[in-house]
Amino acid sequence: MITIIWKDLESRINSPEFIKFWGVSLLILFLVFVITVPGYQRVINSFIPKLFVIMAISEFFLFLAFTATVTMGNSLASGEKTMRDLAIGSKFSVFSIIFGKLIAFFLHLAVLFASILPFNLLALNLGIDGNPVRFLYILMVVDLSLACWGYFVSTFREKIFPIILFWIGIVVLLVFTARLPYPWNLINPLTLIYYSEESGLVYYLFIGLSGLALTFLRVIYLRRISSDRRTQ
Amino acid sequence: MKFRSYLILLLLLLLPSTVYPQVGVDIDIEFGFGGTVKVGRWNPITITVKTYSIPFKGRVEIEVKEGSVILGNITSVTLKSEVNLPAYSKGEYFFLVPLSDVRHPVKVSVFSQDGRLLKISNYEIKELDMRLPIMCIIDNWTLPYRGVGTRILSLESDRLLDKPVFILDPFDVVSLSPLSLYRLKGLLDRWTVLGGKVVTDPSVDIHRGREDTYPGEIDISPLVSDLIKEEDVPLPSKVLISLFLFLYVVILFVSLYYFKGHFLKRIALYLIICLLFSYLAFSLTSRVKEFSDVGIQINLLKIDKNLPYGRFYSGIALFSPYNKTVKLSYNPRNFVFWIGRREKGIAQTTIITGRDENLMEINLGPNKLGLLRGWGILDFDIRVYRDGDIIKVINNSHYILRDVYLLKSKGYLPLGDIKIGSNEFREKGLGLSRFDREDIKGKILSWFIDNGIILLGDKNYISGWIYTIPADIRFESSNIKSITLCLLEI
Repeated sequence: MITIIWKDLESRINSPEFIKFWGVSLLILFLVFVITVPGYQRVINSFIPKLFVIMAISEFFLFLAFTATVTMGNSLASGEKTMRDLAIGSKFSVFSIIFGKLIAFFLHLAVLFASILPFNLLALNLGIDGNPVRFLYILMVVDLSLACWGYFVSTFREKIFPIILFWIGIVVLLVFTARLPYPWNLINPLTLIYYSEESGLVYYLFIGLSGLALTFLRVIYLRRISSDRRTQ
Repeated sequence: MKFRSYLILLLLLLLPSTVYPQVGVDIDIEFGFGGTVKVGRWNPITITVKTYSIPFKGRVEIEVKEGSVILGNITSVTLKSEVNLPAYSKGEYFFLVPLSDVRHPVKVSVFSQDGRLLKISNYEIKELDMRLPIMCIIDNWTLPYRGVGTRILSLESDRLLDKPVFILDPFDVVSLSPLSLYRLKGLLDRWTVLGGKVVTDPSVDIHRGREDTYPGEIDISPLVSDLIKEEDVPLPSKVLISLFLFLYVVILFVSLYYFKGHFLKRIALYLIICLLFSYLAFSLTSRVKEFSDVGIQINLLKIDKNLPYGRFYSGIALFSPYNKTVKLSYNPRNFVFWIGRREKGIAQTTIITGRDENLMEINLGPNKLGLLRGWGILDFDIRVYRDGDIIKVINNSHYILRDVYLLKSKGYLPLGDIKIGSNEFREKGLGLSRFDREDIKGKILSWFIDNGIILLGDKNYISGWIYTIPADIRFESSNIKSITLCLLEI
């Protein structure tokens, strides 16, 4: 498992494509910040935005793009092996493959979070108060549970349809769930971030566990097929 | 034998009270002077706490509400005083509250140190008789002619010794002997500047009352409320923040893209850059909210011709774009401050009372304008003598008056500054200037003229400006502009 974590992280950190991707992401964050940060104001027209919430939602979208890109098998790191490659072509156990990938994803997420700290700290000091710890918690839980589904998608040989389905799922999650009555609207991650509410994360426990279970089933199936082929 | 049995029984009954003396505290609340209060004035509330076998630590609180539920402009002010008494002792806690809004009861509460509510009383002030003028007779002096419909109150002079001047505010007239006058001279002189009448001759007709202090006739709140709207909010430069973040993104990208080494070293370099810029971002902006408030204090000081005091009115506007508590401390012996009635949406105002200093904490909600009003007496000894076209001013105060004008009905004569000591001005060679209503001094002057506070048609005034916050008033805040207009009628 440690080898998988090590190799995954190494390939992504060393990948120039990934550095470019994250550089562009930070540039987008920079633009959002520059547009929304309060500037010269008079008392009569004074307005301080909810800067932390604006930045948190922007960062959530960037991390969502990161999660989808990294987990679904179309990783920007050329040296990285997908879950399908590892299930078919390696001797690692199913548990090691899945949890190795998930832990590598989590560590990479944590490392990337450090790069948005200056934005968040400035937003806390210059905007109306926010709750950074709760935001981090929501971000980690939502991204981890979506990563489980992303890894499930990466186990298919045919890429385009599962990817389309995955993105449709995310759009449904972000747009249509906001119109649901309480408490079902708490499934919407933007609602959770806006209200700094963590009770809706229980839905993500279910989403994550179901994605993880399907990934396990799929990897075990792939492993069985590959061993059958080798035997033949 | 029978008598002895009764005696033993009596001793046995008395034993518990000796062995187990009374535990706890007695709390006595006196509203006004024995329940006598006057609407439209500052009235004292005295809370007496008496301890027995154990010491008492806690606090007393008074909550005063004003405003209308329908208009949504209810303001609440809480006055607090810490109580720390040893066993078998008595402490007196003195508060001054304005009474003008009879719709809300005054709530008095006593709390123990751990926050337990020991006693609570709600005083329905609408039930009190408080419209008629009050005449105070000190040390049982002869009752003067008082007209019809005046309430009489008798007090000992000891009760007023060493007390704030506003303790006399409920009264319209004080009648006392020359000996008592001598004892209370400092207090009564200052009260006279507030409009009070002191009578030592019982044959004088003094039936006319005096004007109300609260809310009173001079309210500078509308002026400060207008002036603060033109002020800039102290925020850090958007350009500098943008440059800082741009530099961060560029340095991070370039160092990661061009650094050739082991991936762990790359992560270490990345984390060092991120944490360094995070530290800089936080430390450079951590005090933005603390210094975010803007304040304007406009004071009017009407200097008394005959006494070394000036009657002080203050209007303060405070604003913060963030949720911030602004603190104001003042000497309670000479000043009182309260929330302005035009205020809306202030979360809470607390006044922590002390013997030599009251600390007012105004919790400003985000983007809310807080208005305060102040009344008081300032030690200010300036005398003016006019001899033909020569005006002689002797300034024995601690202040230099800047940009002094001789105000006339069609304009003003600029006299320069009045320094500490003797000053002389010749009126003849000076040209009459027109009021400029554009700069801040012109705006303030014209507002006072337009609102009938300066009556130029009838009187001539010497006006001067003090640009520092008067002594005995202190803001624990960052951006307060204070301008005091001193007016001396000649």
